[in-house]
Amino acid sequence: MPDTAAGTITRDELIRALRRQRIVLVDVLAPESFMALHIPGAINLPVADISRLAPQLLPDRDADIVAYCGGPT
Amino acid sequence: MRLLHSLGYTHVRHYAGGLKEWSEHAADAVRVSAPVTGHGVVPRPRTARSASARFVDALADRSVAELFKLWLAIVLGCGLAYWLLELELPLSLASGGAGVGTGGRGLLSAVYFSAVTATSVGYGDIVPTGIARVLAIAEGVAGLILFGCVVSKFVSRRQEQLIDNIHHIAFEERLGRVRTNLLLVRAELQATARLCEGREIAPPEAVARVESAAMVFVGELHAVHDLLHRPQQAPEEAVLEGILAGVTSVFREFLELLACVQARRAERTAALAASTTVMARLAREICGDCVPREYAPALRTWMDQIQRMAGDVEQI
Repeated sequence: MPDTAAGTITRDELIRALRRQRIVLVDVLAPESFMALHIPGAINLPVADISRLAPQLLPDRDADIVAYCGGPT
Repeated sequence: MRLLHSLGYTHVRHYAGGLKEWSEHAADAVRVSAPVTGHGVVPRPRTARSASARFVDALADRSVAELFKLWLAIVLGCGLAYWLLELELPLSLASGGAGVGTGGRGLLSAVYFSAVTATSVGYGDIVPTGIARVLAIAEGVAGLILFGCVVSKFVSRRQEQLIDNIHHIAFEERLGRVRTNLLLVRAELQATARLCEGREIAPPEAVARVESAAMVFVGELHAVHDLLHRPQQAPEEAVLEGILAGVTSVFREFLELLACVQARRAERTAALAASTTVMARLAREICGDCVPREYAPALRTWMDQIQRMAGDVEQI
């Protein structure tokens, strides 16, 4: 992801988007971390399995996707 | 995220704060409820029932407001009927020997008599005669039944809420236990893997630990299998996805460890063999197409992975 303003989303924007249910929230952490804690509504797509699982979990390539990982990067 | 771009996704954004920032504001996070899709409410089977039982059921299915409106309609309707009777057959409603009259006052008196009858108060200042008596008795009985229904509704609604709450708490606790146990099994398997990997021959205690971890895992797999095949209550999909992801990762860990123990010439004990057989049987029945309910693609993918691993566990 290039570090442009358009490519990132803040916490408040994320909450608003989740309320409107317009986005697909993707947790790219490992399944065990996802199991312990994740943002409500997120689906799990571990980085290691992205290319294999993405077509199944995210069939719509134009969908509005927000991805997150463990902490500030 | 660059990876997602390269796979052809056009609208990918990055929540830079990540899980860390999110969980630091946990109070806010709670307010965003996860979309819950389709609760697995299984309709009660309706067998052939008598007419009276169906009538009671029909009443019980109405809301308090509806029942009250029905009661009001009976009072007003019967009031109008008494008044019409008084028009046709004078002295049908008599007050101190004289009719209540046919004008507006008469209509008011008729409705008043109707209300007094329906509440089974029966002051006796206005008395019905002739055919009006039949109507008055019918109204009295109907009013009493409806009133009873309304009262019982009020009481049972509280009780139903309470029972629902208890069910919910028990269910959540069970889900929590499954999650915790999966994490524990995983930690145990990882610790055992360290015992196995460094050695030429797997030590007996490693085999014993794999054995006990496998038994606990089979228990949890049973719980997940039940949850998918006989859902009395459906967990939120996010929670279910977490559990399925946990099962998958424990399974993978278990397969690796089993291969490691096997490669180091340790005998597979009878208990371990029994556990793996049950494990394979349960896992084979967990997949997107073989569970009775329709789940989101994310959940189906996890289930399919679990089913694939059933084949792996049999091959080892």
